[in-house]
Amino acid sequence: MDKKDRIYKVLTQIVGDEKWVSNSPVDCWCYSYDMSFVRPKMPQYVVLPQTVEEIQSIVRLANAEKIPIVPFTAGTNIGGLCIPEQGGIVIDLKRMNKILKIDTESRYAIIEPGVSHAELAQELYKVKARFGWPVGPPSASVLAAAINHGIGGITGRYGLNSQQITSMEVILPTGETARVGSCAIRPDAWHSLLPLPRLDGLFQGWLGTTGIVTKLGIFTPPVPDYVHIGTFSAQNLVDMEKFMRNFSKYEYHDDFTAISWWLSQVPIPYPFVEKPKGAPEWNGYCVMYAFTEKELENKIDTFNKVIASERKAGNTIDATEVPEESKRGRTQLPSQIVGSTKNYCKMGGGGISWPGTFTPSNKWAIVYDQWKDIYMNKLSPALSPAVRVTMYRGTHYGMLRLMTPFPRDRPAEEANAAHGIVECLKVLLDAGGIPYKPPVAYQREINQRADPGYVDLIMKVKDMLDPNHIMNPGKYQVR
Amino acid sequence: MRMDNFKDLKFYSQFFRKCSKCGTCKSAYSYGPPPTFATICPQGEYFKLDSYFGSRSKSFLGHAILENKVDLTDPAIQEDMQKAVFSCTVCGGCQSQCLLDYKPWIVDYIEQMRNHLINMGIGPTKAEKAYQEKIIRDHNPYGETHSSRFNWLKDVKNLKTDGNTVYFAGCTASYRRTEIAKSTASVLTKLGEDWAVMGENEYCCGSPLLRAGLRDEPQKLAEHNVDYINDHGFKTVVTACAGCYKVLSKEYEKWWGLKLKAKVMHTSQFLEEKMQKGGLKLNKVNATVTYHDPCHMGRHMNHYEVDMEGKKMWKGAFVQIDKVGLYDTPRNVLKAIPGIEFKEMYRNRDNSFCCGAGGGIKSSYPDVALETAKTRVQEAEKVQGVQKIVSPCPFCVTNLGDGAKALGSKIEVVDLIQLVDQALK
Repeated sequence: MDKKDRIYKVLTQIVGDEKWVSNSPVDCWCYSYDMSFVRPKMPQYVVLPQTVEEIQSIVRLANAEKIPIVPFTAGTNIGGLCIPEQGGIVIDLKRMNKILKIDTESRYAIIEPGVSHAELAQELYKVKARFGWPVGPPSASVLAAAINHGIGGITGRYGLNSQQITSMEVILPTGETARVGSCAIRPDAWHSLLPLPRLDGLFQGWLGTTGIVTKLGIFTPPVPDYVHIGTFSAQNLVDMEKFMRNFSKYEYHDDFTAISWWLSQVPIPYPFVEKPKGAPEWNGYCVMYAFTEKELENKIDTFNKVIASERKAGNTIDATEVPEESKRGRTQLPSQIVGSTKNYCKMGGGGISWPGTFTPSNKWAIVYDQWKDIYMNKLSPALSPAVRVTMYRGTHYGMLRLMTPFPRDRPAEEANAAHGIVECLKVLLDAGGIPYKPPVAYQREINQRADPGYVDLIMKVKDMLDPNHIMNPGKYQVR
Repeated sequence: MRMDNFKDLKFYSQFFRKCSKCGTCKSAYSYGPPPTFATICPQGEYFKLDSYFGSRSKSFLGHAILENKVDLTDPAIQEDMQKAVFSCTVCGGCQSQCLLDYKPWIVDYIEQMRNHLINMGIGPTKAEKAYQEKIIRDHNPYGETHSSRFNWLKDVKNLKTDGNTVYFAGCTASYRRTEIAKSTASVLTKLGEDWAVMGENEYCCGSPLLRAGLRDEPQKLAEHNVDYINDHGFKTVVTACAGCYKVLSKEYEKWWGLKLKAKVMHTSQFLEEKMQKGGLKLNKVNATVTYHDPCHMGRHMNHYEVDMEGKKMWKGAFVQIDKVGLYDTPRNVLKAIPGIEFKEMYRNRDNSFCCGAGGGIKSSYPDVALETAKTRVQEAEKVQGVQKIVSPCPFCVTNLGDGAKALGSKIEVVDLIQLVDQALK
């Protein structure tokens, strides 16, 4: 029996049924690419385990056979993160889709990797709890987004979704199971990562290269009774950022976001179109939840005062009136409609990617001007600078990202967009921003600029955890 | 040269390549409030692999087929491709979720994929080939003689072949669910309708062939049926079958420009019209029931506005659904029966879960069909007090009945027309 058949046979034995394994190119092709510009790369196998023990056996098989493994949940990221760079076995975790617990008293939930935002939203709503729902497909995995520093509608108040993690269970690249956080000490305690050593850091932001997270505890705070969505505009990002910086110090916001004119169009214009004269270049919204009426009144009052004070100082910021339907879209998440499916890529033609970054707000305008120059003047066709900025919790940094749609059936235009995205990334990195959920093409740029000690440490950690280099190899471009 | 309106796979590529792979099609979700989540893809739920899930998978597969991303000269790969494409119920549940320009085309595109593969020698499945041959030979997919098509009518007195309204019974009601055909005849008679049948001139509507990707063979059936109905001057065609309804009311003209002079009505539309005119006096039927939406009568009958020229939005943009399928009509009829307590299943209307029988699956992949039916019956069982699942489609009734039987469920599956027959004075 050759290696290919042997691996197939063992995988079948592990998951108990041929139905849950495929080495067919037909099936593997459907795991070879995603929304992004990353070129297709085929796995040799896809396997659908349902238990931790099955995953452990698959990992041990991968070590024995020296074959890569790539964890996969929904494949909805826009950075090619589940594309198997060096082939191997895609471990599709969608059969592990249980919400194991929702603890309304301690305010956390325990979920498996296959749980979608849609599924969790339905269950949390019943107990008046919430999570950081992203502006993304409801089908996306909560766990995968959280461990890769996804953001959501409560990022301003509570931080990134990864900061809501309370405990986790991981299968290491050598097949052992490890728990980090309180569940490591007592199996039924999933309430906090602290005060233990932050071993969760070995698995967060590593793009699935250091282990397979099989259970995740997440903070699920209550839904406040009151909400106000303040809307505003500014003629330029300098003014917008100044206002956002000044108001964000109060930490009254759950979500504090501004978008360029091109991103505010539904969908993003493809290719570039001129903004109408007189239209503000930036529009924003500030979602403020409160548990009491008085708390909300105070927030609104402060919000209005900051706008007034900024205007008095010559800022072009101004409060705006927008339709209620549009406002509701900011809180009614997750949503099929405002998700990346429709708003972002519909006109471009199926493809969508980005430089999505964590960047201090005082760098936003500098980077944005350079991004505009690249997109509007240096690409053919020119592309829309569809940019979003968001203040994170703590406000010392925020999100700066450039959503870029492109047609999937016109390779030259896809390459044009990919080129533009990478050029924009270089500008961003040189200004001090850091991309999140980065495609491989970004890693090369990051590594070129990184402190040698950082790259060395990445390699040491990888070597320690994954001595056979089977765990999603190639993503960090360090070997 | 074939004269029809079918488009080749290359035509559809301009739409399926616009699939972003967002996966919205893989489940049904609405924010609400409250937010609701449900599975929607029978094929995906059965096979679980992403190559089988929703319209996203079909976009991947179409790309692979047209651009030779997999070696379709390899028999093993041919087999895998056939399974991935032909084990879909083509229920359109994914289409209901999609928000991109791909949306309006999804059902037609999947059927065209089948046609494309058949032309490459990949498909139809063995089971499909068998029933296709039977349809071509006997004008029904069940292998029964054509002359026995109207055996169910033996007991019907004063049968006519001319009149105001013609009842198009369809193959399933004629051969396998004759109680549905008999109930329809009974209802038409009780309502005093001047109705007739086509007798031996009724051929299969062509739906099983179209769904499987065939093009020329169903055209012959369509031409025959249209010619007969038009030549006899019927004013109305009534059918109790969702599949026949879709084909007669929409597809004959869409694909071949064959226009029926008569108005095509599903029995539920016919009954609702009678109801609105005050001509439907119904007796009490005590039962707690739920309703199963047949895909072919519901979401398949949605009409999509597409901006092909780019005058409103951009070339090929999906603008809106400007006409929805028959969701309220059958429910209105059902609710009009005194004594009926109507309760919705969790998944309904555009988000209804397919019965599992469509797209040739009941013949080719019976396990998929049965598991899907069982899932749907179990959903009905969760609705407090429900005794019957009512559906206005003989094929749905058959498969859901099989599901109920396999589960040992106490739930009875009946056709809407049977309940109306029972309720009519």
